Amino acid sequence: MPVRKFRRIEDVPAPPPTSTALEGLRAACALSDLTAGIGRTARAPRGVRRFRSVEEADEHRRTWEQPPTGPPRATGRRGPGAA
Amino acid sequence: MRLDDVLAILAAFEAEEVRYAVFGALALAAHGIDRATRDLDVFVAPDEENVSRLRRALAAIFDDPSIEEITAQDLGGEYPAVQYGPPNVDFTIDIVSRLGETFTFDDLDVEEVAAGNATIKVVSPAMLYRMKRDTVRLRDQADAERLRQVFGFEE
Repeated sequence: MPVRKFRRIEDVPAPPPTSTALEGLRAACALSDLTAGIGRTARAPRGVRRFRSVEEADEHRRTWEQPPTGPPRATGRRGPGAA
Repeated sequence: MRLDDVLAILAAFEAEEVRYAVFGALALAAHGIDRATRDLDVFVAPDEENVSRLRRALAAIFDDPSIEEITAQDLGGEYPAVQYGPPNVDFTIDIVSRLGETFTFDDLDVEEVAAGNATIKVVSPAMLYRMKRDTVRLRDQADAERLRQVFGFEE
């Protein structure tokens, strides 16, 4: 694949659509796991919650879906050359 | 989010003949547009029989007494959005019976889509576009733009 360069992230073309539903669902699931891992988001809440609108449900979702602020958690591992 | 979990839930819906349609990010994915999500959005018909089928389908997958808290009275009444977080999976199932005053289950244009060995019901791309194009959420606007690009919908 040749190298292509873009001045802005907005100029990067979207990936082509997946060819089958199963392929698309598999890609979305993998991407979701990756994003959740990178974003350090909380686990999805358990149980049943009721909302008067989808907007209210979205508002609640933001309380657990957004990553916590502050420095990244220490992993306990050190890179090569660390004391 | 494990694909096997998602497909197992939808297969249970099919087995119990739930009147449902996937919308949101996983519907986009089934139409070839993948993005990250933490939920399985399903539109359902909120009548007593259908919600009873929905509970049976979920109970076939999850051993969780809280499933009984999902009721037709709520979905057909004051609470058109019910979020269910099952045990042992890291996503929620967002069960919706209507979107504002605009969309109810009977308004939806639904397609049957083959996903591996299963056939699942998904809101059509054109319907998803109509649902998303006029919303204020940036994520929905981005979804609408992507649908427009891929399927050639006019603004």
